[in-house]
Amino acid sequence: MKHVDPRTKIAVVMMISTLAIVINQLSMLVFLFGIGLILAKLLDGHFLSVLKKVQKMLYLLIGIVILQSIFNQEGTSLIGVGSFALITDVGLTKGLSYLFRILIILISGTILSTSSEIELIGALIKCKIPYDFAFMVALGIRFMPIFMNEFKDTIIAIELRGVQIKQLKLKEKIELYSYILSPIVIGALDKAKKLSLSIEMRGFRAHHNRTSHFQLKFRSIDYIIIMLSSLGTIWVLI
Amino acid sequence: MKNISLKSVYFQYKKNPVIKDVSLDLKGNTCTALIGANGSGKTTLGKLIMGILKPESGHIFYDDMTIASKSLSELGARVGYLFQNPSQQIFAVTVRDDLTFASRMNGLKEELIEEKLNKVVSLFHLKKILDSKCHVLSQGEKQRVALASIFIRDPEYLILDEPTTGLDSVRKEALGQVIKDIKEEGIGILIISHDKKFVHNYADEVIEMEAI
Repeated sequence: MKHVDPRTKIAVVMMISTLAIVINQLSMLVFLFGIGLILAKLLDGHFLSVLKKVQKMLYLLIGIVILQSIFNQEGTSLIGVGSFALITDVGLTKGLSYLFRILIILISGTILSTSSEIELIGALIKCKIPYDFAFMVALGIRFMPIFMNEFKDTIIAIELRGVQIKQLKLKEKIELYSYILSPIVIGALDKAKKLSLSIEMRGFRAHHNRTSHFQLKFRSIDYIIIMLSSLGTIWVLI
Repeated sequence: MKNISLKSVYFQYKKNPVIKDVSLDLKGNTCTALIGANGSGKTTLGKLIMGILKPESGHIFYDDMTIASKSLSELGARVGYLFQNPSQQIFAVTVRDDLTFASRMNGLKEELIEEKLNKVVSLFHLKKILDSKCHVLSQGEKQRVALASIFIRDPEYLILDEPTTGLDSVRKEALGQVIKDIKEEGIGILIISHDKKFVHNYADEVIEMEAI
């Protein structure tokens, strides 16, 4: 399963992500999450590290679930203040559905990360995507960890100036994050600009017809995965 | 006077040992320099002392307290650390914001912040770029801002990783003079550098590290 064609991985990720957006039933989302986990495991995706990172954002996610729930007043009240229902059963279900949608998309993303940039570019070109776009998509995937590292480095730099982030009040924390967000985005855009300059200087787009020694070939396992995934998607949609 | 000592420190990156059984005493009011080839572990050692990296074994003491029990911010409030890449150190939109950030977050009075700001601005010749956006600064300007962001907090000990990168000879000399002055105030300094001339001019002792 580890040598599945990247086109198969793209197809599977597209199907899972589409279903995660289309499905509204919580039980089906949990089921889809399970399928995503199994596929990520079979394709050697690093889903455990993603789940660990999600665990760090647990409070934020719980907050989102509660907010979703508060703004949805349908159903029976589970927790309330006087006559005002804080959390209802329908609101909680919708909040949890939102949480599982995020988890499914993150887990399906780990399937793509098992292929190298060259494999992904090759796969997108085979799918008739222009080379420039394919390159940018692959670069975008590579850029996410850089962006995360930039954020982590900034937090370290702030702590090294003696600011105890953990002891800040929620309002101060929000102010701090909004304060550093724009420099991080500017830094990331600056890096992107330098990167594009660097690739232009190495002859990117200098010749119209690019060739590649890299060959992609569908095997029987790819046909089986695509067939089963398509059947599953159609079954859920119908 | 604050001292730093390392006892049998061991550290590895993905099973590749970088620091092996290093014991070292860094005294206050002394300027110690770490030199050595690329990959010899100089920056890693600096990051271990600052608590950015955790040693696999061994102990690091700051003023007789183990740094393992200190958070980054607790240590950062006392030890100034200059990153090898100044862009990693600067995070605010303008130079003024960056220099005054920690003082404001820690609730210092406005007059005191202004006084400290004026001192480092004149020390590192930052008047012309004080209200400039940080991302448009040159490498040398970023280095001066990063240095100023450390000195503005009156640290008890300083770790400077490649402090002369991007500085012209005049500013290198000015930095050397600052190092001499703060050493006289009893502050210890660890310089990690490839700049042998600078190191030999301003360091009291030089330690050469070798790659494992």
